[in-house]
Amino acid sequence: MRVLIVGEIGGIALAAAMGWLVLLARWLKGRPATGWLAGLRQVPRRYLVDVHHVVARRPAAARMHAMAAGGVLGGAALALLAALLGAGGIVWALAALAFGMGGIGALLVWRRRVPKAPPALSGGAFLWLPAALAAWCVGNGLAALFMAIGASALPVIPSVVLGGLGGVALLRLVALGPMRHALAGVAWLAGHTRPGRFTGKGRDTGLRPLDLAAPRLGVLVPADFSGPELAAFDACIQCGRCEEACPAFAAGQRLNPKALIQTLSGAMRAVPPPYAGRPAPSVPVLQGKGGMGQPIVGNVLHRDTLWACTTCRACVEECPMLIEHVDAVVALRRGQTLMLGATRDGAAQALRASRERAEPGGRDLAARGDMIAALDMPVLPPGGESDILLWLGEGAFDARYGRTLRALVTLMRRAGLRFATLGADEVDCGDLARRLGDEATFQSLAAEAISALKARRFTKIVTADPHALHVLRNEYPALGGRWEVQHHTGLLDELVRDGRLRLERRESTRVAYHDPCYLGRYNGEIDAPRRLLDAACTDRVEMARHGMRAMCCGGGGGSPVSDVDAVTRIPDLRMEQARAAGAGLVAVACPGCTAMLEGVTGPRPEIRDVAELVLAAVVAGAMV
Amino acid sequence: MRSVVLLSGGIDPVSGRPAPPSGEIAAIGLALSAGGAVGGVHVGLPAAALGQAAGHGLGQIACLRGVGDPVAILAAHLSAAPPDLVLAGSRACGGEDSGMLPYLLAERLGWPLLAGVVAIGTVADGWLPVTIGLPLGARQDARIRLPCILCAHDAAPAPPFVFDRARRVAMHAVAVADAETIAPPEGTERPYRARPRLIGSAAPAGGGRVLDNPDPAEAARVLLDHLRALGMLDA
Amino acid sequence: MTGRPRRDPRAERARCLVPGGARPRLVRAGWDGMAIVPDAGPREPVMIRLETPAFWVAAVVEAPDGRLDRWGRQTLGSARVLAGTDGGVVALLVGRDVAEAVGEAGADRVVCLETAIGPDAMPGAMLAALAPFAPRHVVLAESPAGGDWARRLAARSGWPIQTGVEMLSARQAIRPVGGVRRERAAVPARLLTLPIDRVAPYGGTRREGRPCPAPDVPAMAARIQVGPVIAAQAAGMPLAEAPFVMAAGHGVRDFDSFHTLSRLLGATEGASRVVCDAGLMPRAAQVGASGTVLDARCYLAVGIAGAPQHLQGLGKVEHVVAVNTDLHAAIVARAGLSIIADAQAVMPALIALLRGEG
Ligand SMILES: Cc1cc2nc3c(=O)[nH]c(=O)nc-3n(C[C@H](O)[C@H](O)[C@H](O)COP(=O)(O)OP(=O)(O)OC[C@H]3O[C@@H](n4cnc5c(N)ncnc54)[C@H](O)[C@@H]3O)c2cc1C
Ligand code: SF4
Ligand code: SF4
Repeated sequence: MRVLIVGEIGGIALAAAMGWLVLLARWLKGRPATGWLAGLRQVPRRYLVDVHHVVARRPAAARMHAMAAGGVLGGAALALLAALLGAGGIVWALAALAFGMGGIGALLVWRRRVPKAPPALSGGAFLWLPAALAAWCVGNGLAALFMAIGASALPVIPSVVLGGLGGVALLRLVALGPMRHALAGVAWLAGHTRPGRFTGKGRDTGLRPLDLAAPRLGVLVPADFSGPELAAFDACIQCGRCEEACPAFAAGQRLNPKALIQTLSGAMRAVPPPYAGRPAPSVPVLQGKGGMGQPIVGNVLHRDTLWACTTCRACVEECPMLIEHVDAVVALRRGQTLMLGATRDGAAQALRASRERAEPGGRDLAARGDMIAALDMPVLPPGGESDILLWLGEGAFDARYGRTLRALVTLMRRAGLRFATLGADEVDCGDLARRLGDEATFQSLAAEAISALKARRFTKIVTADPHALHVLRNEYPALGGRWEVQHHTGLLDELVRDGRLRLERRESTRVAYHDPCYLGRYNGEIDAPRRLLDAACTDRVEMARHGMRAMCCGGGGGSPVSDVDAVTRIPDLRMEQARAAGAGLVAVACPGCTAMLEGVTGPRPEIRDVAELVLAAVVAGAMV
Repeated sequence: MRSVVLLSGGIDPVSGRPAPPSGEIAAIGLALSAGGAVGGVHVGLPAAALGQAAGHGLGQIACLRGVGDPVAILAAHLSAAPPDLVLAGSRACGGEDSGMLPYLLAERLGWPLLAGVVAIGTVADGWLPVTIGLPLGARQDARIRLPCILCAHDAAPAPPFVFDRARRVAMHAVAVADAETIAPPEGTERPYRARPRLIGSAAPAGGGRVLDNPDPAEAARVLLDHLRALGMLDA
Repeated sequence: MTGRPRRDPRAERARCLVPGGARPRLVRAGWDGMAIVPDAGPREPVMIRLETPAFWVAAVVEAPDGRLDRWGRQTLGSARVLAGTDGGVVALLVGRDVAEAVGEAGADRVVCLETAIGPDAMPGAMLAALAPFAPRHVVLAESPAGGDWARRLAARSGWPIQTGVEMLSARQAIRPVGGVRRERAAVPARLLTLPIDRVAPYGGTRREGRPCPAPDVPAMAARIQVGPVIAAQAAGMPLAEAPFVMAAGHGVRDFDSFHTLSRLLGATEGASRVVCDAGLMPRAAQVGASGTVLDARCYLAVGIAGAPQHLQGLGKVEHVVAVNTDLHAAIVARAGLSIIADAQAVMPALIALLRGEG
């Protein structure tokens, strides 16, 4: 009997391992990754800590997964152990217990879609998953139970057959997708392209520099992705959490992050298994054939999908498989932009202006200070020295955001800070170019900005633009520019806490704070602006989606200049959420959010930058 | 069909940074649409703006290194191995910017020239059909004998910029015989001062007139009179 | 010539008004040789007849449809500037004869050339026509045709040329160089071209505009054949080139009226982003920072608030007209005429008015 069980469970396990090798062989056709195998050691920790940290945000799903996965794997391991070592009844009983738990897990998997399947979940082969899991767990569980009580071969054999059938079904579901995540997940977690996510230090959200001398820039065909990235696409469990979080999807643009990842997984195969989840909205069916050397965009992936993404990382934040959607999008954009010049018209204009005028809006760099000209801001000449360098950013050209900057500058003066700007030497930080895939223009802008900054002495950089903040803080270091970079809300928070600014709460309408993606999700800064608002306003509410899980305003990633067709506008959706929270005023902390939310037409809550609200509440500063 | 695009290098008028003039990008687009071999020619040293121009679709650029009149240098270079088609922008940006070079070149080579070209067709019997863009979207068809010089309309479709092409361009320096020197332009040069234009003769006097809550018929009357005064309804 | 010229400050002021703001500003710098009027007091309109001027200045003027346009008058005006009191102005008219108007615009002599001569033969024809006058200067408009002729003429004759002169006096011509970041002031060259609205038209006493015989056009082998000009329909015109744009904003609900009106007015249609986002107008119609930047002379904004990103698209527009229910909309501040009323009521009224008129 023991031989039978070893044969059955072992055979299935062996077949699974073979399947893994087949998958691995395909992933290895991607660009080589260093230290992939070595990463295998990290997998248990990454899986048990980091993956479950995300999964556990939905306790029901976490329970389901723990039971199903734990039962399937734990039961099998214990049963194998018992059978191989000829252990006593106690191990068999434990195995039976584990399988029993797995059986409950299978039941929970079934309950997820019955009576009504949530729209974000996939159907198709997924509908077979509970049965396969149940057969494996019940069959093997019974066998283990019979072994534990020392029953005869008669009941064991049919149980083992049932378990074996379940096993075969599970293997089939690896090929069809639903169970592939288990195998691919191991490879992906071992070779995760952002190991910084697992260290607990920082957030590891910056894009990686591209070697501009490489023959192929970015991704055109699946083989241009690195091996682990390809494994990541195969690791997607189609849970649809990313889809629920995606602003572009909600606005009816041709992007569904889950469908995107599934498309990329399918792109590796000439005959991909059918996808039974929701597609990207109104996207026509593409007839192209996949393959490691087949073009992706325009062939299996619609062009608009690529340009609709706001790079907000909401999907990444939600993904239990820790998949990096934004990296995939940017890699594909790099291929389109750098190798083919195939960007959207508006984006091409912005990129040309970035290239030729060092400013995506095409404006004269000397005009950046115009909106704060009345404040007589000191400009730091090369070789000059100051405490704080104020990076103005693209918003400075805009009259509306000029008000924010004036509020900030007034507050900094009140607190007695010494600061200056780069004046006409401030080029665009390159954020837009980089998100649009134009790494060449990004790197040349970055080099210029870094050398302008290096020519001056200061202790830190302060900016009111989270996009600039992210680029300067997280992406310049890889190019040799390392400074302390602070967001203006962080600085003001510090000044208030140090007592250098004293605030008195103003009787206010309800204020809701909208987290900029590049400050919250990209940099983890969600508390300072809230502390400031609590000190400045009497009535603050939270929108349903806030903090690390806030919804994007639609302004990032070059989405506004790409003008991808939509059904509704992302800022309108966000404003609706603010209204639903009862807000009469939306506090913002980013020039992009300000412009996007102010662009919402009709009667709506007011938009104010945190700095403006703080200025209205300030009663004393060091200077007064 | 062999086409040569004349490249001036150039700067962006707002930033003063290296940038190819729009007309030259449009010229590259026309050259590509003609099919066949396309190359760029520049009189002078390789410059950053040339690489950017190449990104719009040139595989190679010859940089003619000679001293003296660029027209003479170009004419000598082009007559050594005459192409079928020479394309240029409407004017350079960053130098004298007079737009004279293609005309002087045409005169010297004895070739016909057409300016303001937005599209070209396929050659028949040694004639090349072209479309000329005129103000207000008007178009004019024309035919020109090859070899010829065409100046592209600034608004002719621009081929996209592809970094991969820009970085691959082969820029080779070609040593050429020196030409006669030309006198530098007369006068004194200084930073540009923007001077406001005269009021258009059709402009109505005053501005910022506001009609608050008129009845629709009155509003329509005022609107119509205003648009008439602006000369918008003449056609 | 009758009497000593003197300056007429009022006429001078009127011609120097520049746009921008409610209060007109004056540009006077470098503009001498203004309106020349006879010394004596009010009397019968006279005509200046010039027999043998000290020298000639030629102006090449386009009049394809027998009308002298603003640019043509300005070209003649600048020829007068260069001619001063002693010189005569000969108009080289390409197109139909408009001798009457040309005299008024400052020409002492007129020579007509046919448009049909074509670009290739034009410099030869012009040189033949100008030969009897041996002009000290030849002025042309920096228009597509004028600019083309000027350069052909310069290349053929070898005369020095200054293109795109932005300020002109008898002693000095200033033109931008170096990517319009620098400028060069020099003595006016033999050939000059002028952008529009840089030099005022002649405002003095009518000149004779005496017709002179056209030269024989030297025959040459046909190397270029030019077909007729095909005017664009307002509807199909590229937005960036359209002279008259009528745009719909979020305040427009009656799109049938909007389309009818734009057709009747002969305006090209545009839209604000909200309208394009909503799919009510095609994306290509979007005006603004992330859409098209207009080069129109007139922009009729219906139900458009005038958000900063939208106004960025109006950079070069001369005349903005707004129909909006909100007196405080940003577009009203930018408009030369604002109708504060419901677009859904104004559009049908205007349609009715236009239809009623014919
Ligand atoms: C990054 C970015 C880029 C952008 N780029 C552009 C761009 O390129 N182009 C663009 O247009 N926008 C752009 N926008 C959007 C812009 O901010 C505004 O949202 C948009 O221009 C508003 O359009 P609107 O004026 O039609 O709508 P609204 O702001 O809703 O204004 C409607 C106007 O119509 C008036 N109105 C209402 N009813 C009537 C009626 N019955 N009769 C007459 N008037 C009426 C109202 O008083 C109001 O003034 C951009 C925004 C961002 C953030
Ligand atoms: S980054 Fe944001 S917009 Fe892009 S796919 Fe993810 S959720 Fe959607
Ligand atoms: S990409 Fe991640 S979040 Fe999206 S469906 Fe797949 S596993 Fe779920």
